Amino acid sequence: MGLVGTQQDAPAHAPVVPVDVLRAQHGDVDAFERIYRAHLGRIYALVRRLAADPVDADELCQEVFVRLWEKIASYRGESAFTTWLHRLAVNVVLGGRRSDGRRLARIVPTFDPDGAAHDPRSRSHDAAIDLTRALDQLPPRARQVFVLHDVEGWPHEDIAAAMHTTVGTSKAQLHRARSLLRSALT
Amino acid sequence: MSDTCDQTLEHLDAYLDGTLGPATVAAVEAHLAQCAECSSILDDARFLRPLVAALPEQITPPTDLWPGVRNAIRTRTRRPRWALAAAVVLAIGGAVASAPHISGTALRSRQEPSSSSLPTEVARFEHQVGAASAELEAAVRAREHQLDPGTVATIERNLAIIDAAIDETRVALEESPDDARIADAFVSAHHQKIRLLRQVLWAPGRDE
Repeated sequence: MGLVGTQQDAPAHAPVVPVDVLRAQHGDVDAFERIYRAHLGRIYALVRRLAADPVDADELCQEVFVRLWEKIASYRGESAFTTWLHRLAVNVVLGGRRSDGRRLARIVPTFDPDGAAHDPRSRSHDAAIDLTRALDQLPPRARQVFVLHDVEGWPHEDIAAAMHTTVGTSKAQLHRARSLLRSALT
Repeated sequence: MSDTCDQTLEHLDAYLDGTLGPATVAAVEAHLAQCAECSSILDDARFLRPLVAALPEQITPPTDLWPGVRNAIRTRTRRPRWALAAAVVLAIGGAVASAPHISGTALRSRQEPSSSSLPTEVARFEHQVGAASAELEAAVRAREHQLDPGTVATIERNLAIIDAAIDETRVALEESPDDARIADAFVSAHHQKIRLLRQVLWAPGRDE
């Protein structure tokens, strides 16, 4: 008999909040560190790809978990905790971007198809590393749509809502990103 | 781009996934055969798919970010211990939510509250639910020998957690009788105990 709730054994109608989340909601820092350790790899991957700059990604990732500490009491189990956390992370990254355009211009390189083509690193045999480098060269909005749609699997409707744009613009940015990436990688 | 282009691009991911019906596949392929722009978009998507699939799901940051996070959150106020215990009870509630709601005659019987420093309504509730709880607990004890020893141990652990939450929220409520959050946690803990006991009563025994 399983007496402690999990996502698997709970009835579909009953929201289940992981025990460590409940503990963190009430100030347990040890439980919060366990949450941090469990989710760090995926959150950092998401933030790193959205942010394009490693130094910036570190700051933003820290900011995500600080924001999580502030917001975790509002989590009620309506969606899976991982889904909720990822949306929070996207909001932190995109919100930070909107609020600091000058910082964005400083840290995000402008896409240069010719430069990328001549960069010897882009001819690496490691496809994943090549794609990551090419992603870093994309214009911010195109990169963010590509990461959210093709890597994270978000529908255009959700991307448009998160980025405060239209579904049509999201689709156009995705096609643009794919085209630029293919040009950079072939 | 034409409307047909838009319709084709709507189906692009499903086309690559191979999840479209034959008629839609035929329509998509007919359009692709005569539209260089859509065909190029399809090629881009097809080219990138295996590269995206090769991306690692997780990336380890180059430096440990936890010290910075911990320092930032240390300034936030911690909640009292009773709240943590009540939270654990809520977690248990996730597993016992399918158990029947309290509707026993013991709960419906109205008894005068015992003297305590609890608010009157809460004290009355405690008296009533305490009677129901004691009745159920006695019934559970009577069939303990029918249950698997591992199950009994699990029940004991969870009852201990719930009882601790009841005790702590009760103390907190006596200190802060007007705090509705504490009253909710106190009532919730009692409800969880009743649900757990009823679930155990209904669970099949070793020989059933």
